[in-house]
Amino acid sequence: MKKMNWIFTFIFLTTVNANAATNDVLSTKEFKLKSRNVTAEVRVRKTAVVVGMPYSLELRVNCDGGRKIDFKTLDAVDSKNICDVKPKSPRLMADGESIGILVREVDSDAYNQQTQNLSPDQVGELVPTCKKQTSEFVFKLKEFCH
Amino acid sequence: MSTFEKTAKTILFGGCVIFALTACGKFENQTGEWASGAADDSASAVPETPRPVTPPTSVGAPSTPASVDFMISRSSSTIAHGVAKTWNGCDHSQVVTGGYDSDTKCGSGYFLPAFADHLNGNFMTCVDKAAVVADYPRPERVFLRHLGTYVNRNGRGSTELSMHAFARAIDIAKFILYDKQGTEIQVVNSIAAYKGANAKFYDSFRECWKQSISATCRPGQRESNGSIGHAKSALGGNSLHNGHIHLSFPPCAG
Repeated sequence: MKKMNWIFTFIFLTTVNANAATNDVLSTKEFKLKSRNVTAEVRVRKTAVVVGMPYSLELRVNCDGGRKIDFKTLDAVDSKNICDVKPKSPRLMADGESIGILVREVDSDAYNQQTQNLSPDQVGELVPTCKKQTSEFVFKLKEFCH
Repeated sequence: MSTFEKTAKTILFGGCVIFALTACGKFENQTGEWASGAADDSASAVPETPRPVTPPTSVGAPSTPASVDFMISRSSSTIAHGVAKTWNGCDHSQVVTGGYDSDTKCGSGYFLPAFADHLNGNFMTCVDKAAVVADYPRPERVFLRHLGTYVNRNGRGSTELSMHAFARAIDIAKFILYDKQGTEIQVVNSIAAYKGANAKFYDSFRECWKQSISATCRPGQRESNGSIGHAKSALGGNSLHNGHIHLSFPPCAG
């Protein structure tokens, strides 16, 4: 009986860990390139590994677009840490070879100034803020799958 | 047509109009909300802009010979979990300057005193070795585009404090190298840039840093490699570090 309990505990913990690893995904969006047989996926995650940039954008590319593939099995070919993002915003741009995502960049100028004016213990508690302006970050796919 | 039919038609038509307007509104708002929950400011939305490219800068261009690699304060300050010394990333009399998420704007960083000493004893040696392996000109000065030094926080998804909380780490997104003539070479520490000379520099630098702390660090100890990068690299890593090198001075190093 004790052994069974251990097995159930192991299965439970494994499941929880697996969920923790995948639960940081806020959105995924797939695209088919217009001119080539290539599909791509943009994944938005809340990774919280870089100060002031809690979100990350990841690009995965399937060079054999005719073959259905689970993008989870592919490694990211490009990524970007970002201050804020609209997870539903990724879109194929007019050139058919780029994917645009609406983001807010971190206000690095302000943070750099603050690091010079505040004491170290104050800086340690400081979280850089996002710029107010929206910009469109672009993943360019031209360099992939040749 | 009876009054009942007229009323029903009016309601149906009204419903259709409301549905169409709602659907239209949804279409306009297809991009959704900000992940942070911040308020939208559509007036400031900017149409398609290419990936930002920073113009060449003279930040690291040589002026007078530098006397020290990292200009570190003499006195220590108390931080949440120990003490730290201040690195003035803006002082151009040193070899290594730098700033948070910028190729040109500088700021200060904070290091545990032993980490500061280790940086001054080993960092530029490793940059120089990596430059030789990558066949780059020998760097005289370096500007670091970093993504944070001392930050009082836990490790991601962990109840343990991060190395950043002890001022034992710096996240390096880019090395901007300047040779004697002031020629600039950018070494981007991302998985997308991991090819050719850039990859050689990346791997060689991390291996050198690992060797620099190997006297006391053993495999299996926390961050015993002294750095975390991306999974494609020689020393390995994970997808959380696809865009930077987490360079650390772990407790096993001193």
